[in-house]
Amino acid sequence: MRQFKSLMGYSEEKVHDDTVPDIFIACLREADFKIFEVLDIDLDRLLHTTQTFDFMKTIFVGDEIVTRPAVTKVRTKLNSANPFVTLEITTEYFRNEELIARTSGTIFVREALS
Amino acid sequence: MRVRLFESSGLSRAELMQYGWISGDHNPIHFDEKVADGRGLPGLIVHGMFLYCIVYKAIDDFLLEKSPDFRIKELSSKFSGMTFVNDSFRVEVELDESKELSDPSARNKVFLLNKDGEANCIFQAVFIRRNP
Repeated sequence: MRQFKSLMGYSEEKVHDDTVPDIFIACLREADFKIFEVLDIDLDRLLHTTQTFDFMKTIFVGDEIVTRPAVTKVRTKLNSANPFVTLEITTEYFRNEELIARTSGTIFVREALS
Repeated sequence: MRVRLFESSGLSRAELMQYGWISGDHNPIHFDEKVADGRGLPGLIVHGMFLYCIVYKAIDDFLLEKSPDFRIKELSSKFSGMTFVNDSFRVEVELDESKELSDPSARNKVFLLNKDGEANCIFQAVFIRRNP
């Protein structure tokens, strides 16, 4: 967390306190990458096109956060010179089963047939 | 009226590596020039989520200065351009002055602009009171 806050340019005082910027959940994407691994999608073919965050509760250093991602929409265009797939991934974040944030993003997968 | 919130002379390769390490985003187009080149990119591309974090902090700092009673509730974006390593960029906000700051229907816009002033990303932001 300190490294994140330091990279983002927070003051020394903020870097060392126990607050967590809400946007830090953008870094909790391990499960998203697991989805790409399961779907056998090379990371270097991915491009982020849209993203929405809804921050519901403040989180603190020491909180245990559980992420639950799901592929909520798939669009394909395979019969073209540049076939592609778009995936919409919605992830919910929980602390002690309480929903604290939700994010949804569209991922563009280039060269979908290669 | 647009207000400039943040200006960067560009993110370095080391900063991209550091963000990748923190976030677990090990997509090689962010740190391997050969892979980026193979994908037809003119350089290492900055993580979209890294830019998101920078924009979030710029808005959060602006809100704190304007009124510490408010925080960001929702932030949504559509990326229309790419930001590459060492590219300068800036962040500007345009508040919906027809609405209260904490009105969820307010259409507050935040712009991530490249060095030529073109929007690489436009965000919509919704603010709420911290302790309603």
